[in-house]
Amino acid sequence: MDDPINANPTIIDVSELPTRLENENKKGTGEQLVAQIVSLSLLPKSAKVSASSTSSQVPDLVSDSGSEDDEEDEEEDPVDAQEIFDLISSISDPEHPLTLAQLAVVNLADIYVPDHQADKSKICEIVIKITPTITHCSLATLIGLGIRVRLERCLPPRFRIKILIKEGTHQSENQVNKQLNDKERVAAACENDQLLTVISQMLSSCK
Amino acid sequence: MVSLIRTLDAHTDKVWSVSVHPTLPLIATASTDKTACIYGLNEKFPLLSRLEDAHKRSVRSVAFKPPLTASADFLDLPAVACGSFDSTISVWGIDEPEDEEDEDVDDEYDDDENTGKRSQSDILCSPNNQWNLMAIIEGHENEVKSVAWNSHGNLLASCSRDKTVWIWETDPETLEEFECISVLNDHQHDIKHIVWHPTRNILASSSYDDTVRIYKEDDDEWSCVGVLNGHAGTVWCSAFDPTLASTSTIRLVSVSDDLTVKIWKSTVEEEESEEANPIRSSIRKDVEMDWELDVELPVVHTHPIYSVAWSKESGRIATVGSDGKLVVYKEKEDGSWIVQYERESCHGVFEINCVTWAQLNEKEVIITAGDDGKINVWEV
Repeated sequence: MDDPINANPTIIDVSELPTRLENENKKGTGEQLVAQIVSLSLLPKSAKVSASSTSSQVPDLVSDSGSEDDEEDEEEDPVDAQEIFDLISSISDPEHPLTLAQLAVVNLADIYVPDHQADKSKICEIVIKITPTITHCSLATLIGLGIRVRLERCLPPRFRIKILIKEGTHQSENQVNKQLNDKERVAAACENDQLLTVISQMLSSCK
Repeated sequence: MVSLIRTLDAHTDKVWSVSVHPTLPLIATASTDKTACIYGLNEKFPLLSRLEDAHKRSVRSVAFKPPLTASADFLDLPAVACGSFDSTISVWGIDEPEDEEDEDVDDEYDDDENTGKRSQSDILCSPNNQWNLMAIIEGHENEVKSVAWNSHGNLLASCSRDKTVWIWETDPETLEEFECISVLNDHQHDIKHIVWHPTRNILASSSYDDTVRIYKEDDDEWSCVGVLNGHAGTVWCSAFDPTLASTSTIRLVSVSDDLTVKIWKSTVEEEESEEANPIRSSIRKDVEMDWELDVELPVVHTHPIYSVAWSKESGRIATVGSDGKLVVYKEKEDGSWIVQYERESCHGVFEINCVTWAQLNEKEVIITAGDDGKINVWEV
């Protein structure tokens, strides 16, 4: 990875990413503070790239609230698209010091979660469409795998995760889709130490 | 009715594969936890052995060697082959059991009418037998996805993500050496599963390239003699019709990511005799087989179908997959198929990777293997 595949990606400022913070006032004071900071947009827009270390902490706090829910899983809240977004938005891009949300690889509008999931004994399919930064991005499979690993680790086993390339955003859309949703290929990939090391790095910005 | 009669907590991670011995009451299981297990197939389902420390990655498939048909006086010892993501195949078997008439297992005497002598089956399925690693077979470049023995037990086939099918020849009595006699590289992608015809040396492979390929031997050369095109997604598994094993009609059922279950049909021309025919070598016969889609079964599954099994006893077909459903199909007299049973959540919310038919107390049962690490036994 000497030459970045996409050297000049479009970057979204962290303050513009969708969060749930504004409508969750009952959060602890620390998180309230973060919410205020985010809503006030104190992060200078000129410092987009250099702010990435700070920025990666903001979604972390959001996903923190998700893991608190996990601990009391008897009273598990229904999963919604925002929660899925929070779990995967802070994954780092394999070649940029930015998160997948900042690069608009994952977008809240491209996460589909069924409304009816009351019956915990029934399986439930979540569809996530990812948008590679460029149409020949050879890292699309790796990014998709990172998202799958993250969600399989965080979500209960009744969820079936389908990861697709957003239509028309990649030249080998079908091939990537097939590989990303092949259970056996994913299982074998997750036993590959080299690949796991890269994925751990991508997930190290998540909590 | 489909009712659960037993759950075995066989493994600590996904169970990928389950195999039933053709004649002995034994089942074998294979898992992501890198081990395979041998269980007795009786009401107690005793764990007879855990086959471990041979593989560095998931054991993806397991298959019992069929028993020898000839020599009644030869003690035919059970053996299994395991295919692993670590690219190797392991072969396991038991040593010839000691004569243990004195130290019989106590429960043998409970309500057994022939208390005097233990049957050969009891001796071969005793927990006292040590299962040993007999061979590690190397050759594939990466993950071995499936292993299968032919009906005589002298040929072992394996397939891999490296897009090849290998055929290994061995002495079915000693299993001492496995010599690769053919490498078939007709598929364009990852090969998910292979299966032999129940009596003939015809092999079927299912692939990520959405096709099933059929292979046969002709003049010592193995080659692809048929391609089944028609699925619109990865073909995960296929099974030959065992009820037609001794006729010239061949049927094969295949299951896929495309949620369909398809039955394909072909016929084999009976060769006049097995003995060498001088004309045959000069006038090479066309070995291609004509396969056609026979029938498509009613669509029930809502997620990829991972495994299919065709019952020798009842002729029924069972399928399982990612949606956790077990579906049993039955053929009507007019050749159409109906859904006899459909049961959801057979392994809770987990996916089911493998299904097989078996006999338990002379009753037909279905055995399923799930991502929950469990083996479930069903009465149908």
